[in-house]
Amino acid sequence: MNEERSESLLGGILEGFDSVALEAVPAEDGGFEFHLLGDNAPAWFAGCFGSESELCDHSPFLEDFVLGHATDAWKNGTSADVKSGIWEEPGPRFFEARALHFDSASLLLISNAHEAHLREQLFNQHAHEEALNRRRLAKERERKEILLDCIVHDLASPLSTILMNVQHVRGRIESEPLRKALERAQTQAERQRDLIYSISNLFSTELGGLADIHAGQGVDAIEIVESLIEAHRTEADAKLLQFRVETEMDSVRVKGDREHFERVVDNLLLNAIQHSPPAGKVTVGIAPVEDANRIQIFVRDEGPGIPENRAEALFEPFSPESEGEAGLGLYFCKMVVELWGGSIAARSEPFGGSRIEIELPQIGENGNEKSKTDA
Amino acid sequence: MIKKKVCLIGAYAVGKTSLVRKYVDGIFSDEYLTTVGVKIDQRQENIDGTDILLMVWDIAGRDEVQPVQKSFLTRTDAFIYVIDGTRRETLDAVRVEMAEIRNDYPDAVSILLANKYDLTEEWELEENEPAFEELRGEGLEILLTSAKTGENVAEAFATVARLAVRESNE
Repeated sequence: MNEERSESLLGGILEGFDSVALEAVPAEDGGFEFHLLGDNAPAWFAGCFGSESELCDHSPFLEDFVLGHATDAWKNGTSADVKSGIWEEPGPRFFEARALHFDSASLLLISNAHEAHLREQLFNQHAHEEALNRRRLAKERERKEILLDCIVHDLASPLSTILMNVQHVRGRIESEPLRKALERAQTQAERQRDLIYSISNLFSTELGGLADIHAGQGVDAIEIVESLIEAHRTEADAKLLQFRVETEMDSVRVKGDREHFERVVDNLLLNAIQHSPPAGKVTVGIAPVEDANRIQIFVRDEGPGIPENRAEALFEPFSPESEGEAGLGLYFCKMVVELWGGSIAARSEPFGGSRIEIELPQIGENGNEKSKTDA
Repeated sequence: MIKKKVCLIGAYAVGKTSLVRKYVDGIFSDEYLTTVGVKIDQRQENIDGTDILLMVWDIAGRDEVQPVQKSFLTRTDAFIYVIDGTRRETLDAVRVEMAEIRNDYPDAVSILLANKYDLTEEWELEENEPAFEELRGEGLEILLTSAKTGENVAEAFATVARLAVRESNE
């Protein structure tokens, strides 16, 4: 192969990898002079690094790399290969460098790392945000558990005293009407105490249970939605409601575990049934979110809708609009969905009715969350 | 002019990039954008009449799967360790990092910044944090900073510049 052909092939390879190769030649001042290899350098080379003689002046990172690890690699000789890691230049532009020693030549390879940076950034951003979110939820849970203990204690303690005293007095009163009145007071106090404990139990189950949620391999959203619609058929028939499922997918896996996902969907369906007028329609839709590798599941009813200023309050604990036990249904949905890295929102439909939609990460065939690059 | 290489070390999302942005550009953003690799910024300091160019290396924070890239740390003059005062575990993590770095770079000076000091309601460190007392006992200077309000940010970089100059004069 002649020299001209070799040069042309090298140029083609470097262009293909969006890279430049330079030979580092020891200079008189103890540093290095660089000579470009190949025919043409990409446009970014001059833009970011000036010329081959200005490399280190333009880039403090390259200066550090050349004087440190690259020099070590070139001095060590024999097929040394040292990578710099990704760094950012103004623009911002992202690069990676490699110092090689090959056939007695000291080489510096600089590659455009825009794609690698983007991939790593997306992955890390998602992982870090999810970890921070989990931590935030755990902290919130801890705070609420303490608050719950205090509330239960403050509410239940006086009732215990009242009950004890009522029982004591009842046994000593001979007047039948007065005894009856005390019996009624005792029954009401016991009901009040039971209510406090049942709300407390439910709430701490919700809080404590969340700690053990494992999304595992995800769940088949369509299969679960259809089975829960069947489960609610009797209640719907009693109000002459119609269910409708809108989806173009046969099956789709989303992040979540079956038990909690079923409770989320169940709460959304109960909410829609409760707010629907007789002979109304409840629509459940499942569709991919464009460019996001997430799946949206919405439940729409034909009820009175949600005032704009109540849309967020809907997901607060003990919200009067929220269905489920003790007004915790939609609050539970929000906590679980966010723990899986998803989101939940509610709004009124333009022509009446309300719509609650959740978005959850889609799970691929390999059991992992799909990323944009899977699309 | 004297050039000093300063590396910021700490877990992800402790506010390293925000501290640099505040110091170099005077701006702060609440949006979290994780750093990949390293970005170098520079700002001049004047310490007792001597001009110093601080080359500030904002290095991607470590997490469970990704340690700090050690190749970025060669020839460092000063380390700024950063923790998030609202996440106690970032203090434990940085102490592990600190032990390794002190071993590899015994001549480099260092300070510790407990950042996000504006979030006092979420602050998880004690007023007289025992770990701080221990580290101060080892000669480490500790500052409570807020990239958001700017509290102690310029002071932190000036301190590290002063320490680096003092070290090179000794």
